[in-house]
Parts: sequence; structure tokens; C-alpha cells
Amino acid sequence: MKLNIVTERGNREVGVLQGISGTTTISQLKSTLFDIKNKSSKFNVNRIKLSTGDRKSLEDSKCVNDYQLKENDTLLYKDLGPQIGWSTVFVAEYAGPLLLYPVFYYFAPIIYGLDRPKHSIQTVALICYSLHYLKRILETIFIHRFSHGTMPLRNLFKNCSYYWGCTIMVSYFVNHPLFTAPSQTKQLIGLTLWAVGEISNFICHYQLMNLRPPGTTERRIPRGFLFELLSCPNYTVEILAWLGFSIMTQTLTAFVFTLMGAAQMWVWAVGKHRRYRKDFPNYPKSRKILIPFLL
Amino acid sequence: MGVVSKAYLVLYNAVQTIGWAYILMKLALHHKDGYNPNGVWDLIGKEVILFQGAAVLEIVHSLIGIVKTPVATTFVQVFSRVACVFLATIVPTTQNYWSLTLMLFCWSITEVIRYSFYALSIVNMVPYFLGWLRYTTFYILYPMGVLGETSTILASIPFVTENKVLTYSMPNFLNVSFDFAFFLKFSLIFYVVGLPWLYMHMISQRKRFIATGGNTKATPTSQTKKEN
Repeated sequence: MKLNIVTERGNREVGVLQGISGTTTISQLKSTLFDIKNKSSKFNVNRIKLSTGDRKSLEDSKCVNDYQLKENDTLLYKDLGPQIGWSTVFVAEYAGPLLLYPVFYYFAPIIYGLDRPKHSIQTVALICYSLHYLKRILETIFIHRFSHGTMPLRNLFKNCSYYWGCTIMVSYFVNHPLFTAPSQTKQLIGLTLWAVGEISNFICHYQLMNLRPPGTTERRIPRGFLFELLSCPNYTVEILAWLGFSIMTQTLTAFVFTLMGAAQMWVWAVGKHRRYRKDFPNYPKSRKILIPFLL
Repeated sequence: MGVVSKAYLVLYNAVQTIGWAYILMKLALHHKDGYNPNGVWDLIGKEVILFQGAAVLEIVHSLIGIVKTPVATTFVQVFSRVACVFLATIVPTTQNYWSLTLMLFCWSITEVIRYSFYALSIVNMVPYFLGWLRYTTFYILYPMGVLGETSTILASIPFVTENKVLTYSMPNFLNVSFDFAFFLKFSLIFYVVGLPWLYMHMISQRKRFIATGGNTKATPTSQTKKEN
């Protein structure tokens, strides 16, 4: 069969795809489009969004029959702009904190013009902060299986400014020579929360990895451990870890960073929770979003 | 848009037009015998605080959706202006400085044109000439205004540093400090980045204005929300 491709904005003709069958996948359609456009980088498979009248993106793994496309139907094309791999973005955004945080710890005399012996909790904070991002990088490389291949290039700049900027904001104050340490009890509570949060976070990520068979983008209902109570426990425990870090350093900017992170994770979690409920009719009704038994 | 919000917006924009026209008039009369930055703030400071302060309402307009402009855009515009007014209020060294006069001249001319344009566009009565002014004067007034604002900020820094204005230092129990002088220097970066970006935006707005023959309903930022 034959399919027409026009631009989503302006209905200008992009091309005509010939020899399509009902079992042709959307991703094959995209490669065909890439070919007939002489493999122009603007038509890189990852940059293309195809949709029907409702402008909802067609999924790569589905095929022509799934969307009941017929002879001479028209698909809408949109250029999503330059794309970049998820793992690249993740590694870049986490490498910043890993490199920037220690600068304030080790070069304090130059930065603050003051040289004071470090408080032990400042050293502990350096280790915690670095371990967190080291863990994130290793997870990105070895654990995470991404359901989307790429994201728009501008996200790289957006995400990096967020993580790098926040690291400077937190590290500047935690490593300040005039830093006031909180009581030992608070330090201990904070550190415990942090450790419990990070370990549970790793367990959640490990569970999510095992959920998705290697090389696929298949989705299933997560089971076991905290997933029995929550849709996104990985976020809950990450927020817990940052709360712990903030308590043990008692630094305002760390609390602010925790709060901003929590707000963003809440938005993501609500979205994910809705998708689980929509995609799986048997999704456990009692599962909450981020806070056990409550929300 | 309902009748009430329409009437309210016309009133709001009319009041602002009158307010800024009054400021412009006083400012011009002050300079009738030539350039004289002395006493400018004493003369019109109160009026500027009142009418620029009232512009905070524009964030509210955007929030409740009676105007189409995005909240973030309005917030940035109003915030930078209010910050400059705040600075002039608390830092005496800026009050008789040349840049404050320049800044206030640019603001008042721009605002008289902008607010009268808004007021008239709600009732579909904008004369072409007013639209043309709105989309042309920025060529000069915008860079001049930025020069005035940035120079005022720069002029305030020595006073702020010396008197530790709004400066909070460590050690304290929340391990936080605030250095207003640093904040002011940092804010200058946004002017440098923002100027070319907003200038290009205004140029494209102007192109659209000229292309549509002054049909203001085709210019999105000044357009008020229509009922669906």
C-alpha cells in the first residue's frame, strides 16, 4: 500500500512511502522515509515523529495494522530536532557534580580566601555526594535500560545547567570555612537516612532492570520490595537520601536542592503511575505514587 | 473574554498610561533648562514606585489568564524593573546619577506607548501610528533602557559593598550567606544574554506587525485571550 507523509505544521508534502504492508513497523516506515530523503541527517530515524490526526506519536514497535492505516492514508511528520542518546546525557549531567563538588573541598583557601581545618562531616559529605553520582553513572552504564533511545539535544544543556549549577550551590556552602556543623545526633540521623536511601534506591533500580528483558523496550508491572506499596519507590528513597544529606550538613541550599528534586520526581511519578494504571488493567489498586499508604 | 475583565483591563491600562505620562511630563519639565540629573528621584521616585509597583498586577493577570502573555515572561519583565526601583530606593548614590535619568526616560516613553496601545487594542481602536510606535521605538529605547539599568546597577555596587546592604554572612545555623553585591554583578550577565535575544524577538514582532498591516490581533504577545 501507499502512505503519504506531510508536515504536521503547514501540511507540506514530505514524501510518499510505497510498498507498505500491514505488518510493516513504524520504525521501518521511518527508515524508509530516511532512505527516500537521501539519508539526510534531518531525517535521522530518531528525529522523526510520525502521527495521525490526533498528533499522538506513533510507537516505533507497533505496526501499520495496529493503527488501522489504509491505502493512501496521510501521516503527519514532525522534525524533533537534533537528538542525543539518553545515556550520554545522563553521564554528562552526573560527571559535572562528580568533578565540581570536590573543587570547593580541596581548593577552599583559594576560593574563600580562608584556610580552616575541615570538619569531619564536611569530609563525610564529600564522600556521600561523590558516591551518589558515581553510583548514578555506573547505573546508567550497567543497569538502566532506557525505553526511549534519544532525547532532544537542548535537554543536554538544560539538564547539565541544573545539575552543575545545583552542585556549585550546595558545595559552596557545605565546604565553606565558616561552616557550622549540626549536632552529632543530626549527623547520625542524616547519614543513616542517606545510606538507607541510596541502598534502597539501588535495589529498586536493580529490580527495574530485571523487569525488562535485555534489548527490548517491553513494559511489565514491577513487583516485590517497595514496589508492592508504591509505583515509584526509587524516587521516594532518592528523596529520602537527599533529605538525609541535607540533615547531616544542615545547609539551606541542600534543602532547596532536595525540594526541587522532590517536586520534579513527583511530576514524573504521577505520570508513570497514570501510565501503569492505563496500560495494565490488573495494576494493583492499592499502590500509591510516592508516599506509602497516603499519596 | 468577559465584559468585566475587559473593562478592568481597559481601566488598568488607561491608569498606567496616565501614570507614566505624568512621570514623563515631570521628568521632561525637570529638564526644560537642559540636562540635570540632580533631584530626579526626589521629584518622581514616589510615582515610579507606585506605578511600577502596580505592574506586579500584570503577573496576576497572566496567572488568572485574562491576558495571553506567559507568566514566566511577565514575571521576568516585571521583576527586573521592580528590582531596579528597589535599588534606587535603598541606594542613595544612584538617585542623582545620570543613568537613573536615562532609565526613567526610556521607561516612561515606552510605557506611555505600550499601555495606551494595550488599552486601545482591547476595544479594537488602535491607530496605525500607535502600533507603529510600539513596534519601532524599541530600536533605540530598549538598548538605552538596558544601558540605564545596567549602569544604575553598577553605580550601586560600591555603596552596597561598603554598607553591607542586604548582606547576610556566615557562620549561622543554616550555613547560608547572601552577598547582594555579588548578586548584582551576577544579574548583569542576564542583561548581556537577554539583550540580543529580546531584541531579535522584538524585531520579528515588528516584521509581523508590518506584514499584517498593523492588524494587532495577529500579534500574539499583545493579544488578549478570546473566549473559546
